[in-house]
Amino acid sequence: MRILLTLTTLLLAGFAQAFPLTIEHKFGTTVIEEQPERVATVDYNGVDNLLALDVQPVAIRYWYGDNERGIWPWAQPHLTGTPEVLKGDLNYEQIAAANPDVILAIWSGITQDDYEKLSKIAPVVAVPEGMGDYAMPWHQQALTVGRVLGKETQAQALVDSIRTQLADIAAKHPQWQGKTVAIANRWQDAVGAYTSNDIRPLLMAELGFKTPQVIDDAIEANEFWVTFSMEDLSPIDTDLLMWVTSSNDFSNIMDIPARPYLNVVSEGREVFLGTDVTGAFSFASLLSLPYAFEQMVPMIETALDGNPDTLADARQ
Amino acid sequence: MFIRLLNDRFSVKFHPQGLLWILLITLSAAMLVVTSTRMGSYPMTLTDVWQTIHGAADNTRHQLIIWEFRLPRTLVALLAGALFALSGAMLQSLTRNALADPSLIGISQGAALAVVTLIVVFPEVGGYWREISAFAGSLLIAIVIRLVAGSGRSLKFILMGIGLSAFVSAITSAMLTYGDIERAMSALAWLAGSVNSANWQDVRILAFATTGLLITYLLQARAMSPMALGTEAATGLGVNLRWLGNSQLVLSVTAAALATAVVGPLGFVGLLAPHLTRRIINTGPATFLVLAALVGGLLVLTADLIGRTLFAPIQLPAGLLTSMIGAPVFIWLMLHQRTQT
Repeated sequence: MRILLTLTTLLLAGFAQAFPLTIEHKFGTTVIEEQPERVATVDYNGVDNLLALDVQPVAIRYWYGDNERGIWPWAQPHLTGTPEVLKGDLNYEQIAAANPDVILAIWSGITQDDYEKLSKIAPVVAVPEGMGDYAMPWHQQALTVGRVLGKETQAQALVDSIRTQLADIAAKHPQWQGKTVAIANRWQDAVGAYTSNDIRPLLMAELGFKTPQVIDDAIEANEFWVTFSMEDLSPIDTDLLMWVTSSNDFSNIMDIPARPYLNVVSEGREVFLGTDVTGAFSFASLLSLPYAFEQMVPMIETALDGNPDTLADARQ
Repeated sequence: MFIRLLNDRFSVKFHPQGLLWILLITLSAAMLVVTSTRMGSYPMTLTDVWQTIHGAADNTRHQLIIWEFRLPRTLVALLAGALFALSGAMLQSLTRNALADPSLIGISQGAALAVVTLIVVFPEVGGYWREISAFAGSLLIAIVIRLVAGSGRSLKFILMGIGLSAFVSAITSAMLTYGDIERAMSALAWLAGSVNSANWQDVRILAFATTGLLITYLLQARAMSPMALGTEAATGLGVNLRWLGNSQLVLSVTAAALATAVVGPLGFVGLLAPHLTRRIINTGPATFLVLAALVGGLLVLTADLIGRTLFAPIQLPAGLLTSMIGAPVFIWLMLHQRTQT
């Protein structure tokens, strides 16, 4: 019993000693002296993970969409504060006016200049050396935020619960195992698809879907996204074709001349994710991912029900 | 008022009226600097600003806002504007064409291409490489124009420049498409022309450049008056046209390239500032150059001030504003000029 008590005390002490916290990143080393209370984020998806960890941010970054203050539906109920909303070029003064204790910049594309300016306001947490500006995996983003806030255990629990959610969905749909998926969009005069390195196919893989090799074979400069000529769309003629779009206007996809000739289309195995689910996928946060999968599962079930006439996606 | 130095090698003449205008515009620039340090997303009173600059207040937040954010930004806007204006004034004198402007004839675009190439292909290099490559890019374009158009043929020079500028812009766009999206975004932000992330190093570079170039320009001012009379008359009056022309070109390229490297290509300043100056007062080259530099600085400072207060806290890049203000003002100037003559 005594040993147990000692152990608990030691453990608790270990947690309490999380601060001062030292974080190495591509611009140098940042030391956070004590558990921050006023948190600013310049990450485009930054608001979600903070709200998920019960922190009301003092400054957030607007990404896209016409949601009030740039807060998407899955995060809206969690927001009670009135953070400064950063739009366009980083307005350093606006961030300084929010008087933050720490600034998160792990999905923001800040430059060395930005880093130097921001560091004068508060300690800045940036992406690790060698990692792309928008390449940090969703769970690592969540855990980094958790660490900075001194809430690593809570962050880990939330990450685990998303993994459980995915495993449950996979267990309920054994027929999905091994099926191929293409997650695509039209970009100007080409059709693009995410490769198996991207978060979307990675998450779909946890449900049992795999990305066809022909999509990964097309990788050139960008390891996350490849494009195909509109004349030959056979690479995306998969078991399940999911379209991601920034709006609910699908005319540019409907207008692709070769689209009706794809088997996946004529057999009704397409899913149009629509604005919100596409956004939830892109935010890849502790709040948006559970939302995305909740919405997506019935869409996929209907697309793969063998009946081309049933619709359950954003086209409705 | 005459200033004669170095055995008359340096001699400039300022008219009293010109001096009065220089004083007036300096005063308005000073007022605008004060306004610029007072305005922003962080609320501060004039007293706060005054005490912070004096060092009387020890509010670290205020010190940060004034010394790190507002002052460098204000000074960079002022100095970059002056450099663009000087570059434009030099080019206009050199080509004897009112349309000459570093952003019109491809000099800014040359700098832009070089910097975008640097950002996209060698993102890891830092230091002064941006300034150096901007200068190299601009100079290359200027040399190409000069070689193909020859000297003294002003219209050909301008037309060559416009063609080359379109060509270079196309390559820049291709570069952005080819490049990695993150680097392209960073390049695009710079291309919009912004003084948002100006720091003291930028201020130092531009301050040295402006001082150095202004002195060099004034050294040449004496030869600029006969040049305005035409090549034959100037040669007759003992002006070494070939040397003067080449050195003016290099100087004007230097000014535009340095300003572009720091703040990005700002349109219309080089075109507008000399024209506005001519409208204010008809004077000799020395007064004209000093006034043009001041007017240029005033223009960019105003553009930045409007850009960050109009839709505050959202900031519009100064480059957007100079074009938005510049184009209509220029048209108005042109129309007004015609009705007068």
